[in-house]
Amino acid sequence: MAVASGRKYSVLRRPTVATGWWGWFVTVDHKRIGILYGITSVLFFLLGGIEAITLRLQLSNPENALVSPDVFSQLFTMHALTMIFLAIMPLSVAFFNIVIPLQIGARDVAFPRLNALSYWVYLFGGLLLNAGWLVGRAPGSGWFAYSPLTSTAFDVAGGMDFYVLGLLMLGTSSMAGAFNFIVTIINMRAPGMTLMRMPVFTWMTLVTSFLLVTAMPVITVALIELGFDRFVGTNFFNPTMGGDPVLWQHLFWVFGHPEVYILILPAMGIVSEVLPTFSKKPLFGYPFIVLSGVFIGFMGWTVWSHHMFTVGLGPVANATFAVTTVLIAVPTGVKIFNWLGTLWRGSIEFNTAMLFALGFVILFIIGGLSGVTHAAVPADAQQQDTYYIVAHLHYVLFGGSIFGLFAGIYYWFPKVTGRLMNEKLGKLNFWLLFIGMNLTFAPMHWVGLDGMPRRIYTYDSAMGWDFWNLFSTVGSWVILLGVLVFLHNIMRSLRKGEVAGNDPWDGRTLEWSIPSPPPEYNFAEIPTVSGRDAFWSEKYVENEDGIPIPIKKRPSSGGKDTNDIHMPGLSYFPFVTALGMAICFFGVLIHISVIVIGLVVMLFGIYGWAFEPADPEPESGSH
Amino acid sequence: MGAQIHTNKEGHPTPQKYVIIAAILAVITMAEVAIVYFNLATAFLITILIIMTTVKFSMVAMFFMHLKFDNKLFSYLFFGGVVLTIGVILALIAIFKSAGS
Amino acid sequence: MLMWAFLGSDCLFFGSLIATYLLYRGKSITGPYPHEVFNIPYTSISAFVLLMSSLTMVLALAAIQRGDQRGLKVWLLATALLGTIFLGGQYFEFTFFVEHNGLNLTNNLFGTTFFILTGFHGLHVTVGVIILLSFFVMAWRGRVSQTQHLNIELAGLYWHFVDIVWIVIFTVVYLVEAPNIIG
Repeated sequence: MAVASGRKYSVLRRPTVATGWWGWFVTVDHKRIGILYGITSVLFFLLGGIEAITLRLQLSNPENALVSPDVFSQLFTMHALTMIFLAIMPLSVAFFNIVIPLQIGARDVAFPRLNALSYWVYLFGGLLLNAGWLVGRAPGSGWFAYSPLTSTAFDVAGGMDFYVLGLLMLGTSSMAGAFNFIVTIINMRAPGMTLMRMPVFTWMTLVTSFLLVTAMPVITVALIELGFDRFVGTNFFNPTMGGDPVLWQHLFWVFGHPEVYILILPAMGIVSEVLPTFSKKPLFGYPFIVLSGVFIGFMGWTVWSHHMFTVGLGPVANATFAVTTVLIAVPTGVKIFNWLGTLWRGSIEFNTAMLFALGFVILFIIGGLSGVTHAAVPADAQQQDTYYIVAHLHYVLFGGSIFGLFAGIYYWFPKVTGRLMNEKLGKLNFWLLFIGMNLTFAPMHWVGLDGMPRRIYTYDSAMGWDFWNLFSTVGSWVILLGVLVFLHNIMRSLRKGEVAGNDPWDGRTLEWSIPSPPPEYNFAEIPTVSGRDAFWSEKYVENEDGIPIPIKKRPSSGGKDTNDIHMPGLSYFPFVTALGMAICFFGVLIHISVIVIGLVVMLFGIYGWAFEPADPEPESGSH
Repeated sequence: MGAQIHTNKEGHPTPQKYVIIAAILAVITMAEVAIVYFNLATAFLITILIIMTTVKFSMVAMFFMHLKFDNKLFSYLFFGGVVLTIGVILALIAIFKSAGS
Repeated sequence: MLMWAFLGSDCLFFGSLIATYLLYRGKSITGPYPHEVFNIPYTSISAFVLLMSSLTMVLALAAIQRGDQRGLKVWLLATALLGTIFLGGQYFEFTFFVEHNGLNLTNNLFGTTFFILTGFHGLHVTVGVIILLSFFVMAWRGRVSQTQHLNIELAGLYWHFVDIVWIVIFTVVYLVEAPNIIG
């Protein structure tokens, strides 16, 4: 919303400087925002990893005393929260940011300043969530925070305050981003790109965004209710006043189940891009993959109480949710068969991105199979709250989401930086992670079935779990090695990676048609799209035997005057607004005056945002 | 439909049309309040109230919020949210009833 | 489109609060209970006020769409005024419940769920009034041109949404208690 008149407000002069560290605070460019998301999420991934390594060290021996039970609780709670909300989701958003406008032929997202706001709120929210560590009381009631463990009566140290406030901020960030991508994908596609010609990654982003904007409000309400119980003394989950802790579980899982699809669909989208590119074949069954993604989105709303089979909802509820849960395996199966169909008779290139994508398929199948076993209520009665579930969730989230995201990193790193990552290091990275992941999590299946519960800080030697726990811990060190190799690869490739050029993979989609890294305006000329795999059909035409023949390149059109392309202006108000929001939320833990200060800063940010002119004051001379 | 007679040349309802709609909404509201004073069976009363509320909800959405005349996508976006909400509420009520709690 | 997606999403927000209210209805261990506390005629009037504010809102939009600056200002102010009257009505209703009936946020489930649900609705209304007044001030300074009617339309969509949420709350929270009140 820009104000048309020319009246100047000196405090609202839009920044013009885009270079140096200041440039990162005022950027509204989706590519830069994507990089910010990427770096921050990798850092949080490392933090979550350190928490995991520590957990495994504590569990490596029976009756171990490396950390106290209290710290152990905080470690497993924060490990989950960090990985889910601060690593996987934001890394997916990093890819949404960098890739979506490029894949649909747009110059930026629909609301660039809102995009920047999403990032800054994420950063502050992540810091708030972790602030508990600094005062010795990180959240420790588990990531799904069951009542009444989260009441002030039981959470004596008070760490769950950070949980409530941090997640409220993070939810806002996710929703703002999701709204942005919904409007961008629906409204800003290049001419000729109908919905059924969009790349699958774009489709999965759209479905994920819808899931986010519908599921997040539910957890917002749950967190508000928990927050009021804790801060004000209301009775939402207080049984002595008639409240019902099971209501928390319902509200949480109504959000929580769509959330796991939010975690996996982007990775599935990435895999659906990588597999065709490195099989040199179009994606098999595109409409089926898209439709099953949409169905997974819808059906994800119908299964939430499968997390509550052991709560005592009664046979009718349990049976209903068992049926819906088994049904949701169907669209996933459809996707897997279509991926296999893509590989069949393809000319496969086994580079690192492809290895991670293939790893995704294998590991996600394993995780999915254990998931199907939980759908049977009696079987789940034995599996619930044991390490069997921990095995399942890590196969789907690590073997699934993380592997998919790593495939995306190796695939799109050249586009973002202009340099290729090192293949030797990449393959080492892959094998260390693949082997390490299986060493760590496979034994958890049988240790869990043998009865080892989740979330215990130690165990007795007489239980017979010693060997496999030590085994898992050693596996976690292999993972650690893999991550170190990855970090080394990133650092090295940034400095001396091979120059990538526009299209190092002979790619199929539009992002490969522009330089690496892309210019600020992405496309000198917005392309017109005539089919799926828009870029492939610009490069090749198939002869009678179905062999692609390169199209002779037309001489380039003499260079459109790119000085004429108008890009959204820089702004510092998204940062200011996010800062105000952070002050507000931190203030809840400090004093009401801090909340008021935060609100004032937010209002200043919002009004400044609303009233700043669309463009910076023109420099003297040409624009 | 009334929209043809009452729209001005740009296709928006005229102010008179809006006042008429507001009057209808006021009448329905008065009917909602009045009807609770009759000694009706609970199930019947709830059903009638829900119908009247739904009518009011739809009229504001369709006319005041202009959904009837806008791109169908907006209707899908909005009513999608409404349908999902109602579904979740009903499911939760059913679960709590069947659990006997 | 962003506004419609946001409103669709906000349905789930209010839906979860309404679900909590409905699930806990009748489960308060101690009083005061809804039928002891509600004054249906009073609430009907405030519901009517909010309903009429939707009318004035859409008249404001119609005004700017045909370039009528005076109409825009008049109807925007009227909407903000009606919204404020609604909020005033809520304020008096709540203080009456607290002081006269001893109902507050913490003494039972009814108080908790009722005040949180209607409180967040009231918060939405307050934000709406602030937005309307901001536009009124802009219009006063002649800075809302006919071509910028989209902004007023967006404010209107938000305002109408807040109204329809109240339409639902009025029925499922207040009116369903009426048989208990009348006995």
